[in-house]
Amino acid sequence: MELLKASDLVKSFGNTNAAVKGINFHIEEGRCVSLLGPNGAGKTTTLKMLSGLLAPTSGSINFKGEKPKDLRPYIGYLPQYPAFYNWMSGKEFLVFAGQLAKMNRKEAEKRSEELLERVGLTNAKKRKIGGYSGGMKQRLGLAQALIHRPKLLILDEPVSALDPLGRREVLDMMREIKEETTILFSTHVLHDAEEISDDILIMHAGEIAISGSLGSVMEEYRQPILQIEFESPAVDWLKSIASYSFVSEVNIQGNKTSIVLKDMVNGKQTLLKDIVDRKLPIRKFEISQTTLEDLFVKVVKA
Amino acid sequence: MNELLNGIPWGAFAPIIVLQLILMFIALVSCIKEEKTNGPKWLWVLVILIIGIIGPVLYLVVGRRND
Amino acid sequence: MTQWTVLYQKEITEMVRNYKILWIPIVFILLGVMQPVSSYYMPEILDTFGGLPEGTILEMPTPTGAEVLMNVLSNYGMLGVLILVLSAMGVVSEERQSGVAAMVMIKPVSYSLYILSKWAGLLTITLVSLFIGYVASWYYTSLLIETVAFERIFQSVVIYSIWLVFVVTLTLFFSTIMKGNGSVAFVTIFVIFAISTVTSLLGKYMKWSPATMTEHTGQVLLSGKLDSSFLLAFIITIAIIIVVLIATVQLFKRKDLLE
Repeated sequence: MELLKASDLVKSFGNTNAAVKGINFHIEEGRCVSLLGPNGAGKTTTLKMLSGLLAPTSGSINFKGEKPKDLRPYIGYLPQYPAFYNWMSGKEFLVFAGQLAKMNRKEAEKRSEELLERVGLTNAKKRKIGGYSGGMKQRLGLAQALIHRPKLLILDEPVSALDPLGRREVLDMMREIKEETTILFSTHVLHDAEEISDDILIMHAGEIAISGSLGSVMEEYRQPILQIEFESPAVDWLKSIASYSFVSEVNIQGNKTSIVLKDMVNGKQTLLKDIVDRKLPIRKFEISQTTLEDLFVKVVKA
Repeated sequence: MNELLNGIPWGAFAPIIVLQLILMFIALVSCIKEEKTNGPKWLWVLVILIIGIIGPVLYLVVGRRND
Repeated sequence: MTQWTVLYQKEITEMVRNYKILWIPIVFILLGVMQPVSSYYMPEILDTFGGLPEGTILEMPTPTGAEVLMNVLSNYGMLGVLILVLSAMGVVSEERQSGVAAMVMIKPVSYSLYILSKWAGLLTITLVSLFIGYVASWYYTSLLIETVAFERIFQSVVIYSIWLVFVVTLTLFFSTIMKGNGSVAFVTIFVIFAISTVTSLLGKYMKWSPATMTEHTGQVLLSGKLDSSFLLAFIITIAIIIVVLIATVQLFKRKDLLE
């Protein structure tokens, strides 16, 4: 079922180039969607519009087929840099957030305890937030976003500011949460997206370049790649192979080369034969496929 | 000197002195509890202790980093 | 509990935790009490510490109770206002800067509710401080100098509080539209100073000005009577307060809370 649909969403600030230039996409209920894109692509602006914190210049956002005046009751949002009242304790802040989301005090307290347990802050719940570490704040941020059981959880770069340990913790939590809530999160770390998302949206310069399920996007854009590592550079030969009809792209990085092929079967035999004939000194000859990263780089550079 | 001390109407001054001490105490507690102050902490402690009413008020208004 | 109570309670709790709820009233009490005490003991103090030559006759009539209380209010008008503005300058700007305002507004809270809870919090601390301080001052004045009729005290403090509400509303406005505490305080104090100065210079044309509240306060204290221009100034001041509040909410709505 379709949970959220954005139609011709535009946001411009002042007279400068629009930050988001009329994007269309939808989010299916129960999916974990990652929004990818380089810095400045318009990811945060898009998320802020979806969360109801920023009014779109034009376009509309439908939620479950309707157009609610205020999206905020349905959405839990974790900003890139969550901030808190540092004089409050972790639990106080959660109860406060829950009450602002129109829960009564009892409900808010019960839900806070539940979430504190879930994000592993039970022991720190009475401590002042001012003394929390970055990872703890991120987890508290996750808890406040979930406090009112939102239909859609929006996370802006949830792991990019964390150290590897904190990153793992938050990713594991997201994996748990996605069992019960639809998640939309932005990231520029492709590995994270590949790891936990079902669908991806790639944004570039205020527009959506590619969208679809992770599997189908990978399938559609997947191309076989031949990776060869030489003992010494073999530039001449590499330049010459560009003329083969089955070679679509050659990328040389020092002794390493990756060759995108249109026809793997034919290509690898011809190239291997070439290498043997010319007695080129190779260290590695590997057949693989383009990754999300290759796709991303291609989109951004296009 | 004794005559001078006796001349002071304590009934009128005592509440003022008590309030001043409370003010000083609040500022001191807040200053010591604070992780970081605007400017060196020891200087603020001196200011609070030495400059009558104004010291504590000065600290509470501008010395604290609100968060 | 409604969102309103939750937000207002948060304001009060914050003032309790940072001791504002204690120290601001204490400062107002001290400002209020020092005046009658120093007026009463001034001749003695000069006599003891002044080192005046023997035989000097001090022509220092003890002021009346009403005069003392007027001086108290004029102290509140200077130091009191300064302290109120400085302690309220970060009320919205700090929350915007830290990003916590966005954490509040991400929940289904209306923008006007947020601003009004801030306003109510500021009014609470301002009026509590003013009333307690003024009552203490009145008590000391009647103890040391003379009793001023309670009616006059009551009327004068009510009129004076309208001026302080105006001051606090302006502080909230500038704290919402500007960033940086220093600039908020500077601009607010500058505007208040400008309004007061223009009002006293061009008195004839400024009968409607909020700053005339301080003059009306003095008049009620001294004569117990209100000038006929009070009603006009009162209505205009309330109107300005409401307009500024509405403008604050509207401008707050347009701010990008996550930059």
